[in-house]
Amino acid sequence: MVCKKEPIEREQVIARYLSRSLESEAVEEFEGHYLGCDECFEEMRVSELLADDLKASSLAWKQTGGVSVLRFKANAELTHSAQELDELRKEVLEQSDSRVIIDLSRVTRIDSAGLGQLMSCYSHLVKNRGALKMMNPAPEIQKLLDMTGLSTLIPTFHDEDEAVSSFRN
Amino acid sequence: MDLSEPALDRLRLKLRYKVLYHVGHNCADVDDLVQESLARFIRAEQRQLIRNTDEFGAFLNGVCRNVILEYRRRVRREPSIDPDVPIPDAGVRPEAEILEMRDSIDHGLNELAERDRMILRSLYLDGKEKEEICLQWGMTDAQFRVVLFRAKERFRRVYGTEMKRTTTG
Repeated sequence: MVCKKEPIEREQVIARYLSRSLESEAVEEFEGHYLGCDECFEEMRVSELLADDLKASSLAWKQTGGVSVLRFKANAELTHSAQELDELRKEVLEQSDSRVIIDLSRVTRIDSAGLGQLMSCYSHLVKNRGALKMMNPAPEIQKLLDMTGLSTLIPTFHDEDEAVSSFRN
Repeated sequence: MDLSEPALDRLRLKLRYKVLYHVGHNCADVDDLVQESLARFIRAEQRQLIRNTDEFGAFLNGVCRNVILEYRRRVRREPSIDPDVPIPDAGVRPEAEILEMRDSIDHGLNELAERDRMILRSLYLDGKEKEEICLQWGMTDAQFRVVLFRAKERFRRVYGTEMKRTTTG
């Protein structure tokens, strides 16, 4: 029975049920169990909320004056294995917007993979006759952008209106 | 067996979850399937056909499975019921209540460390086993447990509050 299992084992059954990777016999067994067990049903619903939140994008977009402003909803790391890096790639490289501002205010760390990704975004947008600008980097991030010369290639602003109007010039 | 109105409401909620899992959220007949499963279950209980009332979940699961199978056969036999829309096989989408809960969660996971978020993603979205995750992140069982249950606790509180709010109207 599922709820007599060790809690982590139960959680693994729930995770596989929610991701639909549980074998059909095990699905039958689990459903037969939770229909009679309030505790396991509640655990599953709670895990579903958690999984649902994990799926939610960490990026938010808004359009201002024909420019797309992209910001991170929470503190983010643009590092080799971070989910945000993958999302940034998808959002910028797979979208048709060509005038983009990336708000770096919630970026807490950036490594060579992150810098490389910003460079890829820049190249992609320039190729599409657009431009990339950055906004509000923390001092240590700004220092890194300066050291690597990225800030000379991708202009950085501290005010959104100023960044948006720079596209008109 | 407890067949009071609150107990039946709980069963209805669980049955609805199972039905949605199997027929998809686009199916217009979800409520009918839930109601039919419940009606058959109550009839069986009144006729004392449920041998082991402590394990009634398995019985109810069988009843519901049959109702879904009959429905699928009926739809295939009578395509005129809904000629253009096949029975969707999509996963369970958040119901209205889940969406409401998500609003109040306000991205609870955003406060988690990036590492914790990636560990949880491995479990819930990538379908990795605990052993594999612990090996990858150099964690002990106890550390994994802390990450998992600390995250679940946040959502459990929200779930509890919202369920209370829903039931009290």
